[in-house]
Amino acid sequence: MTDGAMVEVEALRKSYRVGGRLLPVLHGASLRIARGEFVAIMGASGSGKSTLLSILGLLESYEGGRYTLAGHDTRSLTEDRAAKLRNALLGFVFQSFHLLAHKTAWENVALPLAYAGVGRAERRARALRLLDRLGLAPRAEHRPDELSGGQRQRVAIARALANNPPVLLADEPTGNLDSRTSGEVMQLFREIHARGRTIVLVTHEPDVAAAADRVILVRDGRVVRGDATGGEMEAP
Amino acid sequence: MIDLLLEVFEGVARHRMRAAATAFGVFWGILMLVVLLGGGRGLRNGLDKLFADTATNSAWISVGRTSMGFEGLGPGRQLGLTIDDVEAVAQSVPELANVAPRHSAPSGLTFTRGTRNGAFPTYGIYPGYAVVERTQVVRGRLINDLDVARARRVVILGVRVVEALFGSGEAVGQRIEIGGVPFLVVGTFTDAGGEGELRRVFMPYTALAQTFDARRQVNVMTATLRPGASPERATAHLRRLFARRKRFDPNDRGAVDVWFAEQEYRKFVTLMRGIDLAVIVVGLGSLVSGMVGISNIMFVSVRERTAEFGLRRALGATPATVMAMVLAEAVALALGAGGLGLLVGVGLVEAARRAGVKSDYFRDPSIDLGTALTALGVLVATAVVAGYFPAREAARLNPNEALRST
Repeated sequence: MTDGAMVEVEALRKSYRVGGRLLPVLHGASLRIARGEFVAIMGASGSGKSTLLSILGLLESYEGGRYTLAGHDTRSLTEDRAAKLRNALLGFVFQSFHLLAHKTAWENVALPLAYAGVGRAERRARALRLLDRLGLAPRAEHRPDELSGGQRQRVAIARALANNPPVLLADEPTGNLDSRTSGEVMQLFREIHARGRTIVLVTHEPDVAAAADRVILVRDGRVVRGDATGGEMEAP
Repeated sequence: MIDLLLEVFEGVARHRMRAAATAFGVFWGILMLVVLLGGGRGLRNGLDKLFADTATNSAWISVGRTSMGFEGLGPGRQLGLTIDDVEAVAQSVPELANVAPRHSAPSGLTFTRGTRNGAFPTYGIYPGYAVVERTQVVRGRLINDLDVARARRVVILGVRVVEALFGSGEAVGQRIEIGGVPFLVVGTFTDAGGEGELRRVFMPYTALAQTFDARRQVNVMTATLRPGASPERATAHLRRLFARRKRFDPNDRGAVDVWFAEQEYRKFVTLMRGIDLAVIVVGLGSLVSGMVGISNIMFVSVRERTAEFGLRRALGATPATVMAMVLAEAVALALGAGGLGLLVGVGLVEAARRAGVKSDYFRDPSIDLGTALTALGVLVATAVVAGYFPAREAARLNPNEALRST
């Protein structure tokens, strides 16, 4: 791994089998994200940007190339090892929030802590502190259907931060929000980034991408622009 | 573990009606199994009781009416047993032991002791009869060979006869009059055969014959089958012997009736095995249907919660954790419903026992601890099998695809 790199991807290849045919989605994508960087990944629909984010999140395997996350080679991880790395290193924010409807806000926030082996009382205390930081303390005992869209996404962000992971992965985090709420959520991301966390955000909205330090452009399964200077970074 | 239990509770509570409908199947299956097992035990107890007052190796021999002509004698001839037949059987049928007569005293004989009196069924016997009847001495002794040889006027009284004639006083050593003839009470007895048998009186056959003019007649003959002897061979021996002595066709089935308790018991044992098998088949059928029900509901649950499982995997749950969640829910459903079925079933069986539900063939239904624990063990195993396949499906979900399933 290059010094200071949190995410390092080289010549990544991934294809899906659709109707008996192999459909290549990523063919030789390479990128490098430094520790503490805020990066937006952009690309047209079907460009492979979401698949790239899934692989970065250890939710998908890949067929070729190399991906190193915080110094961990991810090539042949077992399911259990991948789960542990996801829990310790990654926080996820999804477009559709993915909050569990039958759990309260604090219980949703505390979920990653349960898988980290944190006791129930400690989980509750930490979840409440996070919700307080995000201005949601009064909503801690409410279920998702009692919250607005913005509040739900803030609960999801609190959940992503619960284990204090070094990397936050966000897939279209403002996709289901109005422009004012989107602005609030992006302000929240900037604050989180300011505290030193690495953020990788997939979006197709230039306004959202503008909040990032750097924009990586994915086209036809390759990273076509995205180094720190804004120059081309083709796969080898 | 507490987290897992809470998740299970939440999972079940979220789909109360569906869970209740599935749980009812398991509840009913286990309830039926327990009630059938308890009823089967009641039936077995009833049959055991039926045979309890008779040695399982006992034989009862009587003669009837001929149904075939023989050597110029027409059919329909009434045959009778005599004490000579008893002696002949004792000497020439090697399969039998304790060969004894039982002959009733004339009806209407009055028993008198001081101011008390009554009438009781009275029989003349040999000592071997007590072995067949499993007569239990309460005080004193039974009829012995010397009593028979000397035609002693001695009797043994059933405990109800003692109560009637002596109240709570001592009967052994006392004299009573039977039909005006004095007899010495040498023993009192009890018998597992029920109230009727406790109101009986026995005396030596020889004393009965002399005192009440039995003219060597015998109503019925009893014996025990020697260990290892074949009832079929004994029956063949008896038929040949009686055919020769009474002059009837050896193939005349109606002339001699030989009843072996062992053969009857074997029939009942075979019947009980059939009933046991039926209970097991019905019980297993119920369990399998409950298992399929739970498995189905868990498959539906896994499909509905695909995104949730994807999320949990993204947040750090291992496949084993997800599998444990689904499996625990299946086991909780089965154990909750099955446990309730077990409790209600045991309660019903126990209530039937306490209420004294009984007949000649049925008494004291019960579920023993071993059976209950076996049922519980089978239930847990059923639940694990029912939950395993849906749990495996949940554990094998690709987290990325699962997350996109909404």
